[in-house]
Amino acid sequence: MRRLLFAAAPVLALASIASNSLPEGPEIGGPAPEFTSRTWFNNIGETPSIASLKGKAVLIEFWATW
Amino acid sequence: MQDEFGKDGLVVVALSDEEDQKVADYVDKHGIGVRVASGSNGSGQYGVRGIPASALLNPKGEVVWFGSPYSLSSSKVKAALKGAKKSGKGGFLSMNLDAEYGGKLKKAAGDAEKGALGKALSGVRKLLADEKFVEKEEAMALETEITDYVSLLQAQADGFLESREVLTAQSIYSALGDSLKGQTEAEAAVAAMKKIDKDESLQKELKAAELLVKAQSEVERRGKKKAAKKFESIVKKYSGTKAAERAEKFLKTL
Repeated sequence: MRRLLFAAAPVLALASIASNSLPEGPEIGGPAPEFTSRTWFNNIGETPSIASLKGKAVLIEFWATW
Repeated sequence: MQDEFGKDGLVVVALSDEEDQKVADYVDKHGIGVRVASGSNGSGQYGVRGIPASALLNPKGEVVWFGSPYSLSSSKVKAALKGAKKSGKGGFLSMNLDAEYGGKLKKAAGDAEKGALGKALSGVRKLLADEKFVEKEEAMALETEITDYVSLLQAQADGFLESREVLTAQSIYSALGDSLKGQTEAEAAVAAMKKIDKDESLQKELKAAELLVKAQSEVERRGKKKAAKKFESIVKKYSGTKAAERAEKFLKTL
């Protein structure tokens, strides 16, 4: 019985680490991470960035064409 | 969201990590109106693991919400808008100044932020010409910030003109010309507009683009199928124009 428990312990520990996996999303209440981009469409004026958009509320949509 | 809350100070940016052409084609086909970026590292930076996802930021640059765009309520957006700089009449002419300008320069700086670029330049230049005004370095810095911004807009308009986005180019030149009246910087925009007026093929692009805008509004009013005729007409009568290309792409999605 004891031997089994010792063997099970590391497996259980691993399982709990796997389920508390990497957090999704940025820190709420924290500063917005800066991002870079190659080309902008429908943009006139300054290149949008966290720095250039300060003073505005920003909705960032992460998307793909698929 | 951009349409609804744009005037209240909301800016929507759509970030994709894909290549330029893929994103460009998609934007063309679907007539997406918000600012879109290709080749962006945004999803990595924001820990995005499932697409689509959205992040909402307040005017201080803090993340106030993250999740599925379908679960974002108007009330959350309204709350984030508190203290946001509203979009003045200046539109894209409105500047985000790098430095803070005080004293006699405050008015000119305020004008620049509202998009009254000609007024701002005139104010700064009056101060520079005034012997009694001592903050010449600050004034020159503000003047440079404004003229640099004008150059950026002019270059963007030239770029749009080159890629046959004549309607967009013209709207930028027109706004610059109006805003910069009385300053030498207006000349380039005015000259560009004259060039567009005199050029037959640019006029054709312009007309086709105007019809495309009407066709796109028709889609909103009456749906894709009923608006199709308008797109077909552009393809027929204005073949070879950028608008006709877009109209064709749209018709393929039916």
